[in-house]
Formats: sequence, C-alpha cells, structure tokens
Amino acid sequence: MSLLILSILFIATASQEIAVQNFRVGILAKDQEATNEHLKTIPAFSKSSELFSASDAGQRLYISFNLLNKADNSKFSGAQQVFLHFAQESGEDAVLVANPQASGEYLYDATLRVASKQFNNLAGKFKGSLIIGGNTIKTPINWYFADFQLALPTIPIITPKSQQINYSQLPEIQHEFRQPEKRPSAVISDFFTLVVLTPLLFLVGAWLKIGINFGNAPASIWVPIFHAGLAGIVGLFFVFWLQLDMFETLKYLAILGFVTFVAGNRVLRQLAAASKSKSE
Amino acid sequence: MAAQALPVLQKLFEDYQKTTPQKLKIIDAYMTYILFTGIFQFVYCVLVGTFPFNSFLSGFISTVTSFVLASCLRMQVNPENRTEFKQVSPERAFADFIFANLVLHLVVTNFLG
Repeated sequence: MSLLILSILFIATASQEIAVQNFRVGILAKDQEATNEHLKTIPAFSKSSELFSASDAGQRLYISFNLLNKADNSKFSGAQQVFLHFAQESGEDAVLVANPQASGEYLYDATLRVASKQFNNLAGKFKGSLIIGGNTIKTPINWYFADFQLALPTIPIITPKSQQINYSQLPEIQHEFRQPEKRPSAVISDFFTLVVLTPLLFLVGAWLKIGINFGNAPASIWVPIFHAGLAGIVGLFFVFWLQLDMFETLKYLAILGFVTFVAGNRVLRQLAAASKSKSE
Repeated sequence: MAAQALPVLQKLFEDYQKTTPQKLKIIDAYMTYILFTGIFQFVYCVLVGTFPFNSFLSGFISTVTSFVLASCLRMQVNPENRTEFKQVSPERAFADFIFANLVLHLVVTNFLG
C-alpha cells in the first residue's frame, strides 16, 4: 500500500510541466542598470530576430528569466539543470550556468572579460540555447533563442610544459663542444715571440762586451759535468713541459739533480778556495 | 731639464762602467734582459689578450722571480756588502741562485700547461 502511495507521489512529482517567463536578454554597458529598455524580452520558444552583439570586453552579457509551474503559475524551483548553451558553427561550444537568485529569478550576468574563461576562450558567432532539465520536469527544454556576436577576449590557455603532450618528434639534441677561446692570429703571436726573445740578443751582446771569462774555470772533470747537469735539467724541464708528468720528472730530476749538485759543489768549492788563496 | 739631466746620466754611466766590478755588470746585463722580457710579455698581454692565462702568468712570474733572485745574487756578490754577508761566499750565493732557479722553473714549467 505504502509502495503504491510512494509511486503515485513519484509520478505526481515527476509530471510537472514548466514554463519560461520574462526571458530577457541584453548586452549592457559596464555599469548599466538591467532595466527593460536595455533588455529584449523574448517570448518563450520563439527566436529573437535581433543579433546580440558585443564588441568590448567591458560589456556585460545579461540573461535572466523565471521558471514557473505551468499548472498553477507558481514559482518552480525543482530544476536541476539550468544551462545556457552557446554553440559555434564549428561545433565548439560553451555551457554557462544560470544561477538562481534570492528572488527566484535565474540570472547570468558577467562582463565579457570575466565570461571569456567560461566560454573556453571562444569568440565570435554563437547560437544561444536555454537548457532546462530535472527529474521532476515532464518536458525538458532545449530552446534556441537568439544569435550572438561576442568579441570575447581570448587569452590563450597556458598549460605547463610538464602537462603538455607532444607526440611529434623533438629536434635532436646535438652536443655542443666548448668553443675555443678567441686567439690572436698566428702572425701576431709569432711576432711577439720574437719580440720577447730580442732581449736575449741584448744579453748576449752585453755579456760579450763586458767579457765573460771562461778562463777562470778550474781545469777539472767536474766542470763539464756541472754544466752538462744544468743543461740536462733545463732539457728535462722542456720535456716535462711537452710530455712528462710530475712524478716521472721528479724521478729523473732526482738523478740529474744529485749529479749536478755534487759536481757544482766540487766546482764552486775549488773556485772559492782559489779566490780565498788569491785574496790572502 | 733634459739638457741638465743628460750630462748627469752620462756621468753616471761612465762611473758605472769604471767602478762596477765585472761580475756585477754581468748580473746587471742579465737583470736588464729579464726586465725587458717581462715588459714585452706584459705589453703582449695588454695589447693582444691573456688567452692562455696560465701561460702568461707562468711566463710573467718566471721573469719577475728571476729578477728578484738575480737581485738577491747581486746583493750577496757585491763587494760593498761584504760586511753584511760575511758567511756567504760569492760561490755559495751562486749555488743558491742556481738551486732557487731550478726549483722556480720546475714550478713554472708545471704551471705552463
């Protein structure tokens, strides 16, 4: 019995016819009052001949209407889906929600700048439809009421790079070797090498003029060994510069250095002894 | 000014030629040689650039330090400074000079790159 009552109640609530009343559409300036003279009232289920056109992002798109229970003209508040559907010819579309106000009126009122996000960044010509549905509505409404030409500001949606999906082949990453630093031309470098070496000529000239006395060297086997040792060490440094590493160099240097040290010690001791005996 | 300075410099040079011992003249020539080498290296660095910077540094440090070592040698060898360096014979000074030069140029060669 109770089941029957429930089902009757359900049928009773599910079978309400609704009517749209006072359906007003308009493009308003930013601070304009939503009065009837600025808005166009479209009779239910007819299509407005007027093209609603907005060219400035500061203008407002204003749509308001009331939903009535057809049976007794009372206010109907059981609609679960109250949408404004704006479709472009290309098939792209946007769905706006008409919000119920405290007065019972459904309203959509936003500047184009604000609306552009809800319009999914679409702009241009739209077909506006009103969609109303709900489980208590017997005949849902899908009513194409007017055409719109809206110059909505289109802001490209920036998706973070991590969320972008790119199936095309990415350019190959070529390894970049470190670029060699700018060098002077070889002519300049070589010229300066010669310039830096010119004082050497001066040195040789000056020493010849002053007079170097090799005759002072004591006649000893240690003299050529000493000089050969020094020359060897300088040569070793040269080879070190070109190819050897420090450890090898130190190994050879230990041998050469020891020989040179001993030879030099002998030579210089002889010289010192000779000069001492001369001064005494 | 220049006319006054010229005879003075001439006198200075003559005195130098006459009174300076031969050993010191040799060292002086060596030091002048190093000085000009260093100056030319620096001129290169200013005009052309410091591209192999370690090479420039090692060359320049080599000249500067050689100059310092040579001046040390000159001080110790100079007979006028005899009283200062009683313990150091000219031969000992020369040996020190060579040893220091060898160590210096080992480092310089290492840094030369």
